[in-house]
Amino acid sequence: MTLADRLLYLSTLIALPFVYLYFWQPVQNARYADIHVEGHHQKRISLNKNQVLHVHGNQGDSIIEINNGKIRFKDSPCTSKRCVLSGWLQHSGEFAACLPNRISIALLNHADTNRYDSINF
Amino acid sequence: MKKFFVVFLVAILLGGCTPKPQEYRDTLFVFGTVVNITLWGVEKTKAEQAIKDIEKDLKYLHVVWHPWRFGAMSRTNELLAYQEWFSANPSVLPVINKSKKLYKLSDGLFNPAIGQLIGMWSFHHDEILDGPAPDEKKIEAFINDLPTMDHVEVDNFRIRSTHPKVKLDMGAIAKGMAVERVIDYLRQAGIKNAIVNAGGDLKAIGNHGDRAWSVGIRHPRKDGILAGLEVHDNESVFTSGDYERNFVDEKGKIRHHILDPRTGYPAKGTQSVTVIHSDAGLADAAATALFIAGPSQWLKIAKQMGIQQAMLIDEHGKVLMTPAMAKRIQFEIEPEQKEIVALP
Repeated sequence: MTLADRLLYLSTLIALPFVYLYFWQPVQNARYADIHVEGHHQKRISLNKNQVLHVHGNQGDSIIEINNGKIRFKDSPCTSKRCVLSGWLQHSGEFAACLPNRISIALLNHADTNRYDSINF
Repeated sequence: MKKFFVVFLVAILLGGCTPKPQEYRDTLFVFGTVVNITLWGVEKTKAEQAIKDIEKDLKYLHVVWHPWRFGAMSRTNELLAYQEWFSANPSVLPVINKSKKLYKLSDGLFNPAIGQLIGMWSFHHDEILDGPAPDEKKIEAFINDLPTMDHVEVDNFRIRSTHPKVKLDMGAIAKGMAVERVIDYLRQAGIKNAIVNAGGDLKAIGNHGDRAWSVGIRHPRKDGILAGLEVHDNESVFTSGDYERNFVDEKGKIRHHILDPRTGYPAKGTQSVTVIHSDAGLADAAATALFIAGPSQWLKIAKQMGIQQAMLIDEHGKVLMTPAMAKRIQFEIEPEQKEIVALP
């Protein structure tokens, strides 16, 4: 076993408890989705509002649908359609991406109080 | 392979060293309210200096524009009572001139000349206490001989009133103009990304890093956020609501501070109005005017004042939105009734 192998095993061991906590924490329905294009935050959208979005990516428009608190890639210009096959997402922490089109969706529940930069009233 | 693992591990470890987002937040208790300022991508020393300067400026403006405490506006009011021409203090002229224009555009619903009426209702105090509503006859007498911004004449730097009851209270525009001034200062200081929130009303410039500023609009009747929206460069979001600055009168009735100059009483029919516009002073005055206009007239007044993006929640909780507002708003609490209504 080389030094690099040992370091890899060590980092895996360190990461294990966090992975456990991440996957075994109670699942909550998401309220928002963050859409990133080319790694840049494009939009934060509420899953309360049913709508269809056309998000422009590297290869064209990905069609993202929101319905009854769920979100999915309805269509995308990629050939594999893996993003579409990911199906509906509804729980916080869920994630789907169309890698060829460089578009990703990450779901959030916003349990934290600072989900907005500022509050208007 | 060995090299790959080392590079992989180093990359992971270095990931932890990534600097935290450059967000600088500060809260000021000035201008009779709480002012929250968030800056993005500004060096800490520069941010601290900017906040200090802003605090000084807002303290100054609070004194200058306060109609009831010794300062330029209260002195202006004393001199207006003589109904003779005098040389106005330059610090109050911009807000008076802007108010005259907005008074006309709002069909008189935004009327800062009714300071005496505001005083009758005791809404001029910083803290609003429960107590009796003013005498009906006094209100009636005031409304029958209503002072307006048309009674305030301006000739360059000279000014006079042609009505003995004119008393200027800029409460429905001062916050907006102050926010505008803070934003101007930030721009001059080379700060490109900021959000300035004065007592719930705000203006943003630039972005929050690689995304737009995210703003939540508080629900007028429930705890929590009614809706969220992205606020872009040079946009202000102002809300007037009946849940702010109110008191319970001797009959147990809740009386809020948005007075209808047509009746002399708190405006009816509306819970809140939210307006988005590039000019914070205009957005502030328009939110008040549309609130007073109510569900039957708000679209007409919005159009006259150049407001494209507005939302009104009527007394039953029904949400009315202009098409431009509906496009960008994301409800957190879905309203039972909502309607998109086009401007005339």
